[in-house]
Amino acid sequence: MSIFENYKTALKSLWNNRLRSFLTLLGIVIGVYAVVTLLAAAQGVQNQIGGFVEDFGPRTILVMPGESDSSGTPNFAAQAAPSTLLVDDIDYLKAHTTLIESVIDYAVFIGGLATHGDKKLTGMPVGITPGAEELFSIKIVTGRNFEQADLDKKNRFIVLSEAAADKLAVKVGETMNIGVDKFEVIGLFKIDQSLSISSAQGEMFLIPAPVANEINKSPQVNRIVVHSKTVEDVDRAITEVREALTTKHGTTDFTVMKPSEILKTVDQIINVLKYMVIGITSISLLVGGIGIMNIMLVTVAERTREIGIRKAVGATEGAILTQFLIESVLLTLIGSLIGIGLAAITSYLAAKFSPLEPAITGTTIMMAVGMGVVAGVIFGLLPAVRAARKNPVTALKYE
Amino acid sequence: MLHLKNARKRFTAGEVVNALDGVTLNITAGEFVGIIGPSGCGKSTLLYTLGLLDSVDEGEYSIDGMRVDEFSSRQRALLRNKKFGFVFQSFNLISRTTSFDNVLLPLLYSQTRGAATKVQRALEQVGVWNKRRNWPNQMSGGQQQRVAIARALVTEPEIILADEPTGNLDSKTGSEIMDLFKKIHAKGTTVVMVTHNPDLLEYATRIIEMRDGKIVSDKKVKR
Ligand SMILES: Nc1ncnc2c1ncn2[C@@H]1O[C@H](COP(=O)(O)OP(=O)(O)OP(=O)(O)O)[C@@H](O)[C@H]1O
Ligand SMILES: [Mg+2]
Repeated sequence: MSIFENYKTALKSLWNNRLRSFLTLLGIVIGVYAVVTLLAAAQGVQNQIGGFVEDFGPRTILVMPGESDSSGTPNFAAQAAPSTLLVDDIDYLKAHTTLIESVIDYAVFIGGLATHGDKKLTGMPVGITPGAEELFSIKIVTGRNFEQADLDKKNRFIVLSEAAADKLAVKVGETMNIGVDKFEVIGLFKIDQSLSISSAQGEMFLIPAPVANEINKSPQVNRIVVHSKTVEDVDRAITEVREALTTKHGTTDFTVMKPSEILKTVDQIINVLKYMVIGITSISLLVGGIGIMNIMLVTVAERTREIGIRKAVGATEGAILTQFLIESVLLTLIGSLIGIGLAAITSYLAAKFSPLEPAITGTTIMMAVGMGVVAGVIFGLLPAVRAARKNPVTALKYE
Repeated sequence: MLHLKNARKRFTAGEVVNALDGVTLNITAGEFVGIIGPSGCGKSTLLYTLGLLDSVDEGEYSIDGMRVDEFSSRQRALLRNKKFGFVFQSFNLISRTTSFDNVLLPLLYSQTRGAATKVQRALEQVGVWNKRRNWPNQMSGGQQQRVAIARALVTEPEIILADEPTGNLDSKTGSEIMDLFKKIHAKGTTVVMVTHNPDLLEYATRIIEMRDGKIVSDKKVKR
């Protein structure tokens, strides 16, 4: 019997029992839907992390206030306390290290409500040096960014996100307030990565770092960004920075780390999560598969006479086996496709209405279809073998 | 053409039954063999054995000189498809399937060209081409049996094996079906038929009588 005829026969039989076929499909649909949706979500997060990893070059070294715990994770409680890093740490690093580049960037957090006319916005005003914007994944779209001259002259300039400018109804060239201090808007940016560190904390306003120190009336800085001269030297540079600052502070009250490395760790954790998702959803596929096996056994029993007839007119055991296998594989294949379709719809809606950006990859689809087909073969095999082995004479007498 | 030698078949479900108890039988091309005997004497078992649907426990069976009792299940299926056509008492058409597709079925298991034409010819030959789109449950018993005969004929087999083909039909319809077999035989097809239908005696060229798994009489009828 040709493959085409086999498919025709299988489709006809599934259609003849369409309610039953549909109910049997559900198990596979739900399993595939779960695996594809969860993998798409994980993939989306990974894609975004991948963006950060690229933003932070492999030479970037970040110094944060506060001691890190034994596992190397920065102590986030220390972030709220007054910073242990000072502006003169930067000059000290320039003088006492050899492996890092001479341009050192830093960021200073300040407080204060952003206002323009009667519009108000809570946000995160940060004083930065031109290179430190690397920390925030931003891209200037209107106007310009700070230059070194703005820092030297302590110009009261501000750069903010388009979204924040919208909310404050402020344009480039106009002035606005951070707390009691007035700033001229010189540029607007958009945030490159939707999951960037900043967006979770509200709108971001960037001002020249020395101005921030002036407003804070303090030489404290919250982030120092250095770059090793070569990629190979990055780990030695970290040690050098740590030793230099420890000497100056007399204690290790700060953390030195490679952001790209941390993000890679997160990426690996998500990879592990992915395998867990596949594992857990495999269980639901197993349940769906058992449902298929059950129904196929019923189908084979119901069609005993038909099997006898087919054998009487010359069907080989192989032909009968193929016929029933195709039927179960078709069942799981249709189930997988429906599951993938539903997952695609869910991912689309999630991308539209949530900060997630789920991504269904070709690999995920192939895996889902593969799992469906394999489930069809595995769980269809026993019923199909039973059908093929039936004694034609007794099958023909079956009521 | 068919040579069965000392065939034995024993069923052990419940009491032990020797359905075939040392049957030796040769059937040559062109015969119309009628098999008669009391219920349970092994007629159907003999017919299924001849048609490779069932196998013997002991004895030899050869077709055209081939020892088919040594064939694999696959070889038997392929030979069955090519050589035999079955007609049953209970029609055995696949339900929810049109007459056309039922008759097409044997051709799906052999690589045949012009299948549609063959199906049409077979259905026309038995006079139910007009019922080609009907499902079995949309036809009378006589019509269903005609479709079943068309299915047996569609591969142009050398031998038609019929197991009480008129058993579920009234005598008038039964006679019509018997006439059909007569025509099929007249065209050169060998027919082996198990039946209680008295018309058989009119058409058969040979009558075999069985009892308790044995052939008790085997007579050629002169015409
Ligand atoms: N699958 C089976 N299992 C057990 N016994 C069987 C089986 N098939 C047939 N028999 C027995 O074998 C014997 C012959 O059966 P068979 O069907 O050949 O009889 P028959 O001559 O065709 O009878 P009838 O005229 O009633 O159709 C019977 O006694 C029957 O009970
Ligand atoms: Mg019988």
